[in-house]
Amino acid sequence: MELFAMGDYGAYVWSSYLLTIVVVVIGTIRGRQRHQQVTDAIRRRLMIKETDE
Amino acid sequence: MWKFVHQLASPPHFYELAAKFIPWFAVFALALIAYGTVAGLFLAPADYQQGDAFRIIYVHVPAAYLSMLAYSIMAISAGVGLIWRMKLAHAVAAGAAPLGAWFTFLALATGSIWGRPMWGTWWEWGDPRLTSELIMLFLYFGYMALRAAIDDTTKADRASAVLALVGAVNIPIIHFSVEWWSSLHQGPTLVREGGPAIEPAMLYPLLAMILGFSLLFGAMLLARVRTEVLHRERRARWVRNLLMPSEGSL
Repeated sequence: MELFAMGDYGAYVWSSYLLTIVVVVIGTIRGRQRHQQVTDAIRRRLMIKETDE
Repeated sequence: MWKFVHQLASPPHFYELAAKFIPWFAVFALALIAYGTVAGLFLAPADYQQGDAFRIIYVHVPAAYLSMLAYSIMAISAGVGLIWRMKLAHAVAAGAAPLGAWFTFLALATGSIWGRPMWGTWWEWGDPRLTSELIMLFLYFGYMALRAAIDDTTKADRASAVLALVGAVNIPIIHFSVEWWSSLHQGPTLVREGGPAIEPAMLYPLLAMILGFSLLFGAMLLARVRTEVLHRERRARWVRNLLMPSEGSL
């Protein structure tokens, strides 16, 4: 347990690492969401075009 | 050489190739980050001045490094796109911006968390390193807002490229700020005359984290650029064949 206490700095050290994980996860998720949005928009347009033809 | 560059810059080829590289980047990134995190948090000795608070550098330094690397990639790509009218280069610049903003935020936040116990303050307005890094965050925001405000992709590419290039003057200012002005922020530890001023048990995890986060950034950037390429090529035949393979693939 002492290993995780980080002297008196546990709150600072662990919040930094937690924040890093949060930023990487959000950055990845938002990237994927955008990819999905772009793909969906293209598919929708292609489908409308095909029903028009 | 030129054939290779042209092939790489061809959107369908890039789209396919990037997908192959992303998992490899991610695997090596996670392995390095896993080692760096364990070694940095538990194996490296505590700093004789900063105690265990110094362990924040294992996330702060990679974040700060990537914040500047992302801007450099953005500005250079924007410049290449502007001069040679290479669309893929503009896509790289556009993909790098949100990631750069995230890592700049992370560098500022982790630096702030470190500053509270070490300097006794979360933020110091007069400090040149802190201020120039904050300016970079606003440059990223400005770049993204400008792109979002212009519907025409070609015009958005050009206008935002000019902003990225003008803002690039901030990069050497951030880097040399701790040498040019007196600053609360400590001076360079790794890239300095006489080699790194840090002992190996602390240094190796840091190098692993910098390399690991760079690879992770590489994977995230490739993914973002793929999305950009897909959007830009939305009317191209290869995109149609890719997304609707059953129909019209003649």
